Amino acid sequence: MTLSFMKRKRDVQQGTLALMVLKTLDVLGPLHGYGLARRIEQISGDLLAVNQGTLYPLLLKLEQEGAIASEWGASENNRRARFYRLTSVGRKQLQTETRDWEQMAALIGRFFEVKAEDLR
Amino acid sequence: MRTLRRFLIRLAASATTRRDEGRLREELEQHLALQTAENVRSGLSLVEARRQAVLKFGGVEAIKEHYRDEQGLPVLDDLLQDVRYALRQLQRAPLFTLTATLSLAMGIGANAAVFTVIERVLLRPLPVSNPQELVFITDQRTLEEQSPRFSYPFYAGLRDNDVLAGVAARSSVPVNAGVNGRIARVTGELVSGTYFSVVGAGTQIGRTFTPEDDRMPGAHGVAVISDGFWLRNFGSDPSVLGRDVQVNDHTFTIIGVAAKGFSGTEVGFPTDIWLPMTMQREVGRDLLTEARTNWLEIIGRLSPGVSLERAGAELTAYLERRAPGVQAQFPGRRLILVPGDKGNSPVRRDLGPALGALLALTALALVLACVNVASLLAVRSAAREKEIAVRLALGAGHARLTRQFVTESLVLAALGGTAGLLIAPSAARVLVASQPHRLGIDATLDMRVFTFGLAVSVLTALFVGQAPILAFRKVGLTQAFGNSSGTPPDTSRRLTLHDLIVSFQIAVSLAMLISAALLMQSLRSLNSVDPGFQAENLVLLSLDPRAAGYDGNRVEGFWRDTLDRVSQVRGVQSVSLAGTVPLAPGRQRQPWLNPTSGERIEIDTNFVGPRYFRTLGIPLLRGREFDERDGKTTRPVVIVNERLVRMFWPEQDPIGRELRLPGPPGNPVAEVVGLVKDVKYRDLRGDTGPMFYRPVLQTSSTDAMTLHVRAASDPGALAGAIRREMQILDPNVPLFGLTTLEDRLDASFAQTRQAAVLTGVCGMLALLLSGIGVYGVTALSVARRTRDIGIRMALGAEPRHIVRVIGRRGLTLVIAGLSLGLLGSFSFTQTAGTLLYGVSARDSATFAGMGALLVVVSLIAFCIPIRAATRMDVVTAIRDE
Repeated sequence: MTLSFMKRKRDVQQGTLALMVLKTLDVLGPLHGYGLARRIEQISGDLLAVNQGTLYPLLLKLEQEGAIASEWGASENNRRARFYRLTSVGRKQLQTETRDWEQMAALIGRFFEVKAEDLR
Repeated sequence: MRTLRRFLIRLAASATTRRDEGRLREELEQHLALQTAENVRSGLSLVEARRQAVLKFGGVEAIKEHYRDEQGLPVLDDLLQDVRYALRQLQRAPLFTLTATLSLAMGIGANAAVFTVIERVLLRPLPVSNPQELVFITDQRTLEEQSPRFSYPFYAGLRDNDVLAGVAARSSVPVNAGVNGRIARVTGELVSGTYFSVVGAGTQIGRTFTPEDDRMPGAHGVAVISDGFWLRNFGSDPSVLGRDVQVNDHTFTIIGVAAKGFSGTEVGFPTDIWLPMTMQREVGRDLLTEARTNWLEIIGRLSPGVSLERAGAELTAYLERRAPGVQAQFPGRRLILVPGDKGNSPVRRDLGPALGALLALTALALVLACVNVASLLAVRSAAREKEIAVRLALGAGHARLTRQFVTESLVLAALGGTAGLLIAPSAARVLVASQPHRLGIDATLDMRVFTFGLAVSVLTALFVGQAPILAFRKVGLTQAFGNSSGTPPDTSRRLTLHDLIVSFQIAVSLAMLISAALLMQSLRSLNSVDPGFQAENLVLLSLDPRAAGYDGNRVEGFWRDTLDRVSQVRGVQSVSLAGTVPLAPGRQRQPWLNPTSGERIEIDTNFVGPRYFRTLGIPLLRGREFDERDGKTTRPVVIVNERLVRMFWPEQDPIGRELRLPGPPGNPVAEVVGLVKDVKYRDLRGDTGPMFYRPVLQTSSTDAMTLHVRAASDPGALAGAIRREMQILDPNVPLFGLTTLEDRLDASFAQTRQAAVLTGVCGMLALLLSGIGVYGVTALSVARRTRDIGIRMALGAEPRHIVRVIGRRGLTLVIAGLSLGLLGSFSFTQTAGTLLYGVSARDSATFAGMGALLVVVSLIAFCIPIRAATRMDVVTAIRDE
């Protein structure tokens, strides 16, 4: 058993992984697939497990949509790796989705804070 | 936008089947390598590190699959894959593919061809603006006659009504049109100045008529020509506007070319040239003031929102108020408006039911073809049971398999449909040409026929595809693998729908073949009938002196000059004239007084020129024939035929007897000067009726007559020389209807030949279909019982035993079909009786011969799979794995 299997991990919810990928690329700059997966897991405090079966098709989809672009480059172990970077389209998409997400979070937050006497 | 971009990329990827598999593989490799490296760093052995990395990674193939789906469009990919698979399957069985494609092609092609004709004749709206507003103005009388006709004064009375948005009058008139000295007989149409605007037809170049072009009789020498006439005579040269065309003896200036596709309102009889109504005298009519001659068709355009009934009633009221004189001729006449959106066609009433019946027949043929192809597919899927079982076991869904089988039949139907649509136009042309009417129909493939063909093909595919689907639904895993004999519960004792259809096919093809054979024999008998005249080398050419302005006084001289000139043409043996041509449509009857019974009866009367009987080779039995001396100044004479003598003066000598000519009581008395043998005038089958012949030169009629020219040798060369002579004599007399008597004779067989060809082709088709049907049934039963047969053979059964086991069923079907077919043929050939000649509708030799033909074909169809069954390797058959 390795470390990653000791805690109970959550799979990333559908739809949110795209946002995480975009945000990670925005903050950290170009990354390859493995790097992205590791970073997302690290940022989550190893609470999330990124499923490769979801990640690579997602990267393809984002690329087809024009949100990210990719090119070959050298990785840290000096092998050829595909590096993904955010495009201007992707940056715009990230902004919109961040705003949407924050609004949604605020909305849900208000529901959690609500008490019976507030509505009297 | 994003979605669209992505969709296009995926579509392109699917279409090109280009996949970036290498990139994913490399990325995954790298991913694993990095993960392994990290695991090593956290203290694992290299092997364990790799193992953990792979474990964490999950199923590589699943990822690839998922990735692939994202790359392309899975639905499209599956479809393309199915199509490729289907094509491979079909390629592997070329005989099956050919048979199935041919059957479907013939079925779909025949249907598309019949539909083409139906669409052109019955369904297609006129290519004009808002055709649904067009109406034909009729009344009870003209409706019954099926051709709405009115006089010009009637039209003039109706013209300025305020009920309809507009009315126009038209009348077709055959004319001679001369362009650059070349003269051709074409269809002219006299139209009112309102015609084009009321009908809603425009021009491609130039302009149409306006009421200004139709004011003063004789003053408007302008013409609009059709697209076809433009192409034929001017090679679609746009400089045609302003050029002259000689119509009969008058010069018209071309002012426009009608829109492409518009050729008048009479469907199947396209107009070549339109002339203003007020120019009718210039093309040989003189009817503008004739209130009693009904020759016009009147077309109206409804104002929006007015019903046919209301418009008809208001129009009647208008006519009574404004033109009482016109209305007085037909007291109580009510005008009836009928929809004119599809134009008018004299052939619709004749052809409509026939085409409907033909479509029903071809639809039936297609259903039979489908059943056969379905049975062939069932045979194949029976052979593929194992493959299907394997695929089911490997997790292929039923839906996925169904889709694949439907795709296979769709591919098959697409092949058949394409071939069918390719042959449809020529088949439609054959169909049109075999009609007794000469129809001007454009038989090219258009959108509507294409859609029809497509719909038929898809329906065919869905129908045909059911067979293998039903077959694999029955395939259970355990059955297909464990008990792999492929011997499902023996159904051979039960009669299935499929069996009934095969029997029915045999019955139908037998009936058709028998009818075709009887018709062929009739054709042969008709060919040997003696028509009473000699048809060889006889040229016919019609002349219309009235169109060139001859009246009753001058016409006799014209005929004399004509005969004189033509008889001097080189190669002419003999020449004469007649009003009625043997075996041609049209006849003249006159009321003669029967001296024996004292009653007045209508008897066919032919006006003929001098030496008519010699020219046609009709034997003169007694007396003399007409000659140049029989003119207006000499005593009226007549010649009679044998039948007439039997009716008027039985057993007596007719020569020298006297008869009052038909017509007013004061008509002169004519003398019978000759007796001739009977001639078949109307058709070759019937008896000849009584007949009077009168000299052309003794009438004042200016009706068109037909020159009968006996050529010394080849009649083809004569026509040009005769035309030249007539051009010198009087260039204004229209010449038309150039043909030969042999052609007429030939045309009189047309209906019988058409029936013979149609039933013959359908019969052969049906024969082929039944052969395929019998093959299908037998092959299916062999395929289902492979193991059974193998065991029997292993136990020492002789091939003939196998034949008996397998053959019993097929033989039963063939015998049932033959009996049914023989019974059906008896009633079928009775209805075709009117087309038969010289052969009994129950000719036993024909029945036996065609029955034998079917038996032979069935046996061949039968023997192919059975031969295969008796020759198979016993060990393989028993294993059948």
